[in-house]
Amino acid sequence: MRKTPSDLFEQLHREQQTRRQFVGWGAGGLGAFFMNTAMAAQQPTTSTGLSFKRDPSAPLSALPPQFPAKVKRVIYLHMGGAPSQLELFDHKPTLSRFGGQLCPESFVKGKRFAFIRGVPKLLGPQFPFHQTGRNGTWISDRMPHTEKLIDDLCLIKSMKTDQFNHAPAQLLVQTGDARTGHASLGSWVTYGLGSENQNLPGFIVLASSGPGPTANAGKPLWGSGFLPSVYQGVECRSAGEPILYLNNPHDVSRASRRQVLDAVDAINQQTRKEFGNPETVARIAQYELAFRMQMEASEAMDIRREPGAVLARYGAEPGKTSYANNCLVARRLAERGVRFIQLYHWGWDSHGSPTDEGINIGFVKRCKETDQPTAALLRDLKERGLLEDTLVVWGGEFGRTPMEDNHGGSTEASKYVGRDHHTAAFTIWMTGGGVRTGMVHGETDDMGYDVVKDPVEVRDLHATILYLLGFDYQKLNFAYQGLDQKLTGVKPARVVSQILA
Amino acid sequence: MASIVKSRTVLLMAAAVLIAVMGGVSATIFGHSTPSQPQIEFNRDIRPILNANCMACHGGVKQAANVSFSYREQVLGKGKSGRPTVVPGNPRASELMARITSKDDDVRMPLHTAPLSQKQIALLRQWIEEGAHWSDYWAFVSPKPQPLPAVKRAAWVRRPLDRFILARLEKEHLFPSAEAGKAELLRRASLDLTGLPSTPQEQANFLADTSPAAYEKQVDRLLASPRYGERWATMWLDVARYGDSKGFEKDRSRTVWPYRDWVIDAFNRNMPFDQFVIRQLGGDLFPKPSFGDLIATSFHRQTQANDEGGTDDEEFRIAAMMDRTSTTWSALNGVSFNCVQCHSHPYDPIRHDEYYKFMAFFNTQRDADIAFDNARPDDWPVLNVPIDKAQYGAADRLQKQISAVRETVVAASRAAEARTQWKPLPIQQAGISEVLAIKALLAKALAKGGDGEDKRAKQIERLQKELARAELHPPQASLQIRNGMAESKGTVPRNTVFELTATLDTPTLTAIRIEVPPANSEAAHTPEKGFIVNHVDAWIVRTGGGADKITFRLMAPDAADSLIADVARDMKANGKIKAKEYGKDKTGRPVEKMVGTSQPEAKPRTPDEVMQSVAANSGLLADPSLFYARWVVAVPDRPIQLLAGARLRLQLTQTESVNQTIGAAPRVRLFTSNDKRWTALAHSSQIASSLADLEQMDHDLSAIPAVLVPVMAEQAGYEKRQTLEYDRGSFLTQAGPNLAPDTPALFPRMPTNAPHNRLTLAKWFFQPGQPLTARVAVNRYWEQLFGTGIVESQEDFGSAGDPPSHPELLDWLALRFQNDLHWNQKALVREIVTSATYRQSAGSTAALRDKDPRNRLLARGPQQRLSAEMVRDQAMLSSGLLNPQMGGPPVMPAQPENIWNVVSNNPERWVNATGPDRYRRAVYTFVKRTSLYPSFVTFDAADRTQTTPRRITTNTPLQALVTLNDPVYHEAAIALSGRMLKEGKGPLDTRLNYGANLVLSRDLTPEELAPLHRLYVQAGGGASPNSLAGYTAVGTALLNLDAALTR
Amino acid sequence: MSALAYFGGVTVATVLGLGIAMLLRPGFAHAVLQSAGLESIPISDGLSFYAVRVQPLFDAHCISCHGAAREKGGLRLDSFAGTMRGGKHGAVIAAGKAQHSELFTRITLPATDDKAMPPSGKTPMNTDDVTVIRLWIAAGASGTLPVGAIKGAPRLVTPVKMPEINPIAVRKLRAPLAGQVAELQNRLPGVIAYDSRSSADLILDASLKREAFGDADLRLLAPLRARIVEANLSFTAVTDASAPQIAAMTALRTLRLADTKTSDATIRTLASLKALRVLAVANASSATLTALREKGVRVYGDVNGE
Repeated sequence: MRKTPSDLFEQLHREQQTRRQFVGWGAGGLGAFFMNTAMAAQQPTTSTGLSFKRDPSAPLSALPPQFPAKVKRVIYLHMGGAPSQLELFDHKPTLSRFGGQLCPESFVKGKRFAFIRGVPKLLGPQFPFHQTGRNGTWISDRMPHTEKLIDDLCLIKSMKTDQFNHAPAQLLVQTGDARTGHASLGSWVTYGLGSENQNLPGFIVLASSGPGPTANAGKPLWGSGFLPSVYQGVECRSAGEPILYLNNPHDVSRASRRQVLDAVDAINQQTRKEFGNPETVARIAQYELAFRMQMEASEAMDIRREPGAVLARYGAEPGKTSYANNCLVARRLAERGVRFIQLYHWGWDSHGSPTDEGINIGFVKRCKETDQPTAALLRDLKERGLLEDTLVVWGGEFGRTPMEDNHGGSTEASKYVGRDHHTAAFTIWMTGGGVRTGMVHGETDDMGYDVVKDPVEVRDLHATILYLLGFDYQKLNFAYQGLDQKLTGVKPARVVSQILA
Repeated sequence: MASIVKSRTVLLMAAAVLIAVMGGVSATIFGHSTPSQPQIEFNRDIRPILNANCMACHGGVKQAANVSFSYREQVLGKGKSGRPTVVPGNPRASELMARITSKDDDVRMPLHTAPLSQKQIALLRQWIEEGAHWSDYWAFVSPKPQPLPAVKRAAWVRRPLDRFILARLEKEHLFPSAEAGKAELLRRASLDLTGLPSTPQEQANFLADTSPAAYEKQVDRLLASPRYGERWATMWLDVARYGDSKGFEKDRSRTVWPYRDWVIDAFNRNMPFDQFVIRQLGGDLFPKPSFGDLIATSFHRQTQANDEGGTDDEEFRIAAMMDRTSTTWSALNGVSFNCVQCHSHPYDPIRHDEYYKFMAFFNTQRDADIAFDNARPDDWPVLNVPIDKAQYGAADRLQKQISAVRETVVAASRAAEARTQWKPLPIQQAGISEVLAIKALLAKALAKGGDGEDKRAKQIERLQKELARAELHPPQASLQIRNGMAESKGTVPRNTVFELTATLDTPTLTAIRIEVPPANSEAAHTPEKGFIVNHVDAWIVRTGGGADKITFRLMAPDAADSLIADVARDMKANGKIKAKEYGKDKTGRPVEKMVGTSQPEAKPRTPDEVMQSVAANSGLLADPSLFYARWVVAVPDRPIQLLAGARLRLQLTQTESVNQTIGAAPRVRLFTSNDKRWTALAHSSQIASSLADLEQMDHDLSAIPAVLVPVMAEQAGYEKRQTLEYDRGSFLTQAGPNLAPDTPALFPRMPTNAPHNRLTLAKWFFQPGQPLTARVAVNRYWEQLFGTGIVESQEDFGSAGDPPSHPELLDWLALRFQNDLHWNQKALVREIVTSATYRQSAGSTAALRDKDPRNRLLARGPQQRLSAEMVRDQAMLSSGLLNPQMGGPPVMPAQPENIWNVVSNNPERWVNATGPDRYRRAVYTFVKRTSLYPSFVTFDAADRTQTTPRRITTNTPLQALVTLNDPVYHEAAIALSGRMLKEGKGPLDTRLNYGANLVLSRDLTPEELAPLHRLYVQAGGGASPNSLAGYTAVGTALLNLDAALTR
Repeated sequence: MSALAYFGGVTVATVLGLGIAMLLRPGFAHAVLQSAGLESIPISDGLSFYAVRVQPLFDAHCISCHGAAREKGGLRLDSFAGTMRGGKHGAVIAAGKAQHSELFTRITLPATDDKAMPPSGKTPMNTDDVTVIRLWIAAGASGTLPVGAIKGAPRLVTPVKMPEINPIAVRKLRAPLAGQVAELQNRLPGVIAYDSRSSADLILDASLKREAFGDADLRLLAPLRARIVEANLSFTAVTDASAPQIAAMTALRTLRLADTKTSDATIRTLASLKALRVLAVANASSATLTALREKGVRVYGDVNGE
């Protein structure tokens, strides 16, 4: 009989002595009490996958990867709304020559778009491109800081997706399925590997956005889906209370909170003696963890502790919610063993209709808001040797069309320049342990419409990320409703071996 | 000597051991006489082997070498090897045996992995020897009556179900635990039945009651309490994936709370479970549905709707329909039906095409992911539900009359159109004008009465700018004529007017039929984008020049949705109904959507005036998708006499958008008629009075403050969609015949004498002989009361799920619930909670915990963590803050700021309630799908984006942070300390005990009292028994005890 | 008819049949001549561009239909000889002229063309694979030309292999130190872990223990030193006194000493770590690190780091 979710939360193991071991702690002597990993590793492997059984009182305890990993943690920089690849990385001189002319019929016949109707005009790149780095990589002038690190990046210009609306496309990139109910990338990674630092959440989410309206799918993007809710992303903020309810109420000191916890602990020990319920033992441990997390999470996310020079490098301003602050927090969390750090920056949806989203206005602002902090994060990780075992991924949920967005047929020659959503081709970049850098993978045609070389599906990107973390994507699964659910879904995926170092 | 003696004893011992071994071995080999009755039980011994090792390649999804183990006939059939997989009675001739015992790696099965164990091979051989008896998986065989098992300690038994538990315990050499103490038992029952702990007064009464049926009396009190419905509704709202918002990117709010109140009321009124489900699945199809029956059908309208700009409404209508299909099976039968969308079920015998035959039940409803459309209200079809229940009757009557009158008008129109000999009128010239469209909009804005001066001025200014631009830039679109039909090419502007002219060759003209046909016949299941023509103008152009405008007296609609749009447009044009907007109620919450009351009419219009006004505001539409030809018949005031060569000039104005994008018709065709009966129809007083009645009734309905609740409504015969099989589950590639709705062959047949619709389907689930409905229902109650179901995987009763821990008990309970109790839910709950099994103490010895760590054998009482809702409600009740008010719009208790602002450009904001709404029960908290109430999420509440069969409880540090630092719980701790200070009397320890009684429903033991006493002193309480700071610390501690979070 | 006539007739018939077959089937002709030794069998040596770059492509995409099991069109691509011999319609490779090579034409046809190879349903060759074959044919379709001789060929990408875990083998691999590992994992929870489920190598990560982990603790871990492949001692209280302990970890690939009190003294002892690839240091001057850098070690955090 295949394993079912109930096995994951099977109560404590037979050997009572591990229980006695827990019972013996004094108030302070807790230390990292979680079941030692050796015991976890000896679980029998299931017929189709690996076993991820854990002591339920330590659902985030670290487990070894399937085979030696290239990276230990992931920082995912998701640019919500889909940044235009034609104004950043995908240099298309032919498109600029044909700008302003009607696009070929084949671009729209039988195709599904969000807003484009009829036959729109082509729109040439709005910013100049030039070559840079030791391999002469083409790049626009919008990201000067990131450009300096171009030889540390692996550009993938041949990404493809099949969703042309924001919410389903973001769900596909973040959870492997266009509908809600599936586990997010961060949840799968913390389910597979647990967290290195037990005093911090394993999967942390930091969101920021341009001032205008944002188009995103909300919490299901970092939800745990069918996985138990302990693996969902924990929303944090670089301004105010880092984790919801982390700080004690203003009128309660840390010392008085310790008194309350000592009383709770003393009484819970009585309950444990009387009923012997393992959940009681687990809850005793969680309260100690919460007390320690209050200190460690506040310290980890307090960017005021960084020297002025570092703050300046990121453009970070303590007390505000900004992408720059979130990037600095991301590095601090990476140093402290958080497994998966997910950043969002919303507001890239440059259709051109609302002022703030035009390519000539909103897009320019988003580039400014993100370029320096992203580059500062990469350089910081590199200098500290952290980039050796950290994977950084940057990208959106689809691309933007080489045609202008005639936004539902209104041919007003608006002064805001915009492109519609484009599923056939978009660009992301990756860097970090195990990634071959200073290269470009995949090509699009002269108009930037279709991928002509080395197409990469979203599930292939997922399979590659899991490979770098030490997993065969087939083996990281969870039995639910009779199916071994996988991040890559039911279709076969392919590790993009060309971009591996 | 000693050594000899020793050696002899050693010899003797060795001999004894040898004999024992020989005996044992012989028993295993020869012991097996092949008794006539087969030893092997297929489901217990064989199916697990097949599922684990073969089904992946030889099941429903893949049939490698066309061998499959899903169906018996396939197993007895021949694979590609040409040899039968299994020959009953003859293992040697069975290819299966050859393959699993072969030495050759490339031939041996399972392929390229470790071979089956010897034991497994032996089992398979014996199974074949015994005739390869096949039995359907237990879950698909209807439950058999179960005799009550004999037990030794019959004295312990209180309810028949106890016998099954005791029999199993005695088999496992275990003894049931002692009955729980009164305090523990009452706390467990109170929380299990009402979601709230018992109050000190209730505890006192129970402790004082020494009568033998004291506990039964408490159970009856709890079952009768209105709190019962609020607790058990939460279980069903998880299954129904209830949410106060539409989900996806915009996630705008949705007023569905009347459905939540219907569910609470149904549980409180102890509606039988079959009636409860039948109303929710098919209430609208009752011969005489009550208002409540209509509200109940909001069950399947809880599916998400995607209002994000640029979405394909048909795609998300289909997503919602598929959600309804799989939710029905998961909720009622625990079958993972959603697998069968793309291929036959991997494990259970359900074929791919059976998924789409079943989906056909849910493909003919009128909802179609409608939002922002001018023609009909958001989330249409909706039921106008008054906020004040007293007005339900009036609203119900009005809405039923409105749809009846509407149906008569449409029927009359369709009948007339059907009997007319239409003469095609080939279009000769066709053009697109954006200028005309903007001029029309400008004229309307200028003529509009004053409502918000600056808003109108800004609109006029924008239109003038657009007009100037339109005059400069002609649209890059045209209407090309192909055999008399005008087709649009290029980018049709958002606001457009089609100008069509054609030469008339008929002496008289009584009716013009304007038709928009679909591109091809495929449209019936894969439609095009829809369109809206909101105004029609026509002229007769005389040969010598000059034109006479035709005034149409009737625009005969082709369907109900078109007439709704025409009447709504006319009422709006005449200021009859204020367009609905976000009303604000006393707590400043912006989400409540009220239908505003319209101004009193200057002077009521005569039916004749209404008719002409409606005609002037009518058009035709296909919103949001064009499935089949849509038409309207424009009927002039009186027959028009035509001279030879006269031409018809027609203008179709299209300035309303379909889901924020252009609503222009893809193609238009014209027909004419000189049938006098059209003129008669146009002058029929019955049609005129009907239209006048429709407007009056709409007006009266809008006068009742109400909310719009999305409900199920069946399409009329003429507009029913087709259902085909989707290739690999993709709606873009559909093929095969139009499928009639039907249920999978694995289950009992549907009745032949009833129409195959949702109502018949709902009743079918409850007909005798159904294998799963009763089992799944009782298993859900068992899981709520004992923490784990008899079948643990509530989401999957199929062969990939868990086997039942007590199969006979499950069948007995199912038949008891269906046949004896006739689906009486409270009676079932009462029988379980008054059983000896339930009344056991939860305490246990290490040995028992060792043998049965997860308490599946139930040798001890259930002990579960409180659900997310119970954690909050207990804090509210014990601190005295609880506002017991029931029902009504959802509320917004304290939540940290900008939790909501993070998502989507939706103007709605969370406004922390300051009034009594701040302390309502958890079931009334606003459920926003893309940002749930944070403390509920931390305590494992369901995310309500899809059906949740059961919640998996976790134990995390974030939960500790919630009950320690969430303002809701800090406020509760302060209020609790106030009660200890004021209501607790006497010395400190009695007040601490009073606090414990409020939270833990029991006194503290001395060992528990000491730490709290010390805490009180440390927290500044000192010697005096009235320090608020001291009690607050104690209050916080009490709310965070493991005992407080457990029931 | 006498036995001699009979045998004579049979030999004549076979020779005649053979001749016609060889005419009809040039590929078959080459096979006959080569087996009769009348023609040299084309051979390729292991280091040739063909063996390293071209044959793997044929193995991945072609030999399921053009190999030992099935010889569709009489063509075998599972060896250099087979490739050069060609199929029933003659040679498929025209040395030096890619456009005239039937094989090249077939693999450059659009996927929709029914003569395109590999046929629909099989995994197609990507543009880099086609370029490799074109360059090889253009350079004379040689079986001996060394790999380096052909310029501009796209980078060789070795496909990813996912190692199967054999629990019994892993347990055997870990047996020698298993007891000590378990015991030390209990004494120092969260510091020692296996680097994966499929190996016996160990990862030491004490960075989260901060000051609580010092030289004494590192000495405790001495029994495991041969198996430790990664050591993260950042932020810990480890000092130069532990230099010998660290230097004894001969399998070490990554060593992190950031924010510790170690100095150049420790760095100097690291020369013995042959496998070291990544080194993060604290208060160590660049001078002492140049030797390590020259050996290819990537060093981070030296005082005047670039």
